[in-house]
Amino acid sequence: MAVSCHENKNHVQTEGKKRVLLMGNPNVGKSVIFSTLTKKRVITANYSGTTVTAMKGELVQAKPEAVLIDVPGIYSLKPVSKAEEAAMTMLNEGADVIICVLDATNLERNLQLALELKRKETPVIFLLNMMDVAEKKGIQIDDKKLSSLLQAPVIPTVAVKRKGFNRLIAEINKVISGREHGKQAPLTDAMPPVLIGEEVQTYIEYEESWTDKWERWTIQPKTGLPIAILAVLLALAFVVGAGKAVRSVFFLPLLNNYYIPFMERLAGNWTTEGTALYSVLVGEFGVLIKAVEWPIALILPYVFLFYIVLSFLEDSGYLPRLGILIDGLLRRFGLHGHSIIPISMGYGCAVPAIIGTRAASSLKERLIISALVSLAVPCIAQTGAFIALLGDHSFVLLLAVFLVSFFVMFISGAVLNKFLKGTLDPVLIEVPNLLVPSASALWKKVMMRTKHFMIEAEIPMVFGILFAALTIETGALTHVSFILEPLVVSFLGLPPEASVALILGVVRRELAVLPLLGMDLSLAQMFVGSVVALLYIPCMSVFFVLIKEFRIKWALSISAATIILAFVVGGMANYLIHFFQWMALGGGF
Amino acid sequence: MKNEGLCKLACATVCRVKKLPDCPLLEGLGIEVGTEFCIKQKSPWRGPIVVETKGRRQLAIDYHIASQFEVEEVNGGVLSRK
Repeated sequence: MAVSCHENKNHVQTEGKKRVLLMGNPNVGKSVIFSTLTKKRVITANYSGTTVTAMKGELVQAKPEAVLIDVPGIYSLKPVSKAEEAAMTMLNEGADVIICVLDATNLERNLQLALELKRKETPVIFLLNMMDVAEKKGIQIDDKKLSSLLQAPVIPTVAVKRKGFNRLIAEINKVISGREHGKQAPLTDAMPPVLIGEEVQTYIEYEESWTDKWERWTIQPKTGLPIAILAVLLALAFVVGAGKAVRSVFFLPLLNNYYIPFMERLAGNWTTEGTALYSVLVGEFGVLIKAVEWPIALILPYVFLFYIVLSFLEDSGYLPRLGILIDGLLRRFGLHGHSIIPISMGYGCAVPAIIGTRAASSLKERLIISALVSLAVPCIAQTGAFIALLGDHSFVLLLAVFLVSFFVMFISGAVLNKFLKGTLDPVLIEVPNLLVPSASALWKKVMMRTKHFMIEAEIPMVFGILFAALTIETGALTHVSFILEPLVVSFLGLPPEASVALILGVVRRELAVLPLLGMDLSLAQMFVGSVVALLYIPCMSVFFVLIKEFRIKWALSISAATIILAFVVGGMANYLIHFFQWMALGGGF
Repeated sequence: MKNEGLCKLACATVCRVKKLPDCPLLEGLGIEVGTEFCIKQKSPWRGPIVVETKGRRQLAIDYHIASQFEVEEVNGGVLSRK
């Protein structure tokens, strides 16, 4: 290990490499900077809480070699939530240089952390990010003056457009090679942030731009609420419509005309039709067919399209604005306006949604969001399965399943809000700017999320399908499912085979729906089956995340509650439908 | 002396803080005694009040906290722009 010339205990090296910390307030573009400066990619989003655990990556073009550590976004060094505690730990482990990102549109607020960091012994390089947005808002900043007031280099940047990075890399190399500590000098008696702000900023009159107009429209009630409803409907129409189009134009013909006949011929070479092996391979639940059809032809298009929508909403800064607008409403159901972010993520996958609740500071809020996401928010794979099952028959039924989801979410939220101890945090946040997301960052993020989902989530699915193929096609299931059968057949009114869906639903949420596809169900049965699947047990990955994030007690309670609710609501739906059918037939009169 | 907080002020009112509610987080947001801001939006269902401060920053303040502010109306200044 190389020996540094001025070793002290604040000067820890990482495997002999220099340590560079990337710090700043939440939502200042740190994650974009991190992914630009390292080869390793990180998910970036236009709201606080994406980076709860620190990411490390090799700093590109660093001489000597250095590691860049992305520290969670914080407002000050006072430990208020988990994020500050984590940041303090990382800071105390030592660093060779700190890159502190400042939001140019919000300088005063950012200066608080800047001054606190500057009082530490470590050299600091300041980035004045989002210079383009500041200029659009008519804010001019004298970066040279700021640099002399802070006694450290200040580099103006536009991270999403990669402006200012060459100078940043040069400054980092200067400091870590020990050549020059730049304009670094200890800051003894700094001015308070407000005065520094006044000193370096000038405001010029400006015309309200389109962005300003949208910012106004999205936050004021009379335009904001219609925009929100329109946005949700557009998102749904885009995912469902484009997904169905891609499937019917591309995936299904490919599958039916080429893949299935090919596999059947292949299986025919090994064994003959009618044998158990043939059925396991290419029968009704044949593993060679379903393990490709379900995850790729059925789920993948929806996953991809959903992540386009979610990533766009995140990066544009729309979600926090919507959260502020409907905070008053959500509060009645035990949710904070900000909860809209983890819940929207939950429509993709519950795992990142539950991890994302770490940004919430009260346990009560975290538990409510996690419980609701596990219970009533279908993941995108399950939504894909719903579209496949119901969408082809009746769009109204599909919408009805989502209405049940909202209804259960609100009721459970209100109930949990009443019975869980603790209070909800008040809203006290900076309203983020709306921006047009950078297409390349968006694309990277969508690809990364889609890849992650398909690898992490769909591999257990293939095992589930193998299990289904073995149990159904060999008839072994009849020996397993007799316990569930009375419940499934007489209470829910579903065929006995449907119990396989419930058994598989433990593995993956969409597997609680997909087996119903080939069962020739009536519309009523499809609806009941979907409602049960929707509310039924969170999948295995979610269960483990719940244990990890909370305690096994909470994981078990949430799972038990979901199973009970699934059967109760499913049973109720079944009886209500039968009651209405009986009434419609003039029964009793 | 009137003490209605921010909740009863109309949108586009510019005011100066005279007394802060007991909430340490406000300082972190840069709101102190003497800070001037303009009421921008009031969210429905007793949702947060959105105010704009001098740096053209918009802040959302919880209804309950907003109601405990003590402020005085001021005229003119950079904030009174449309």
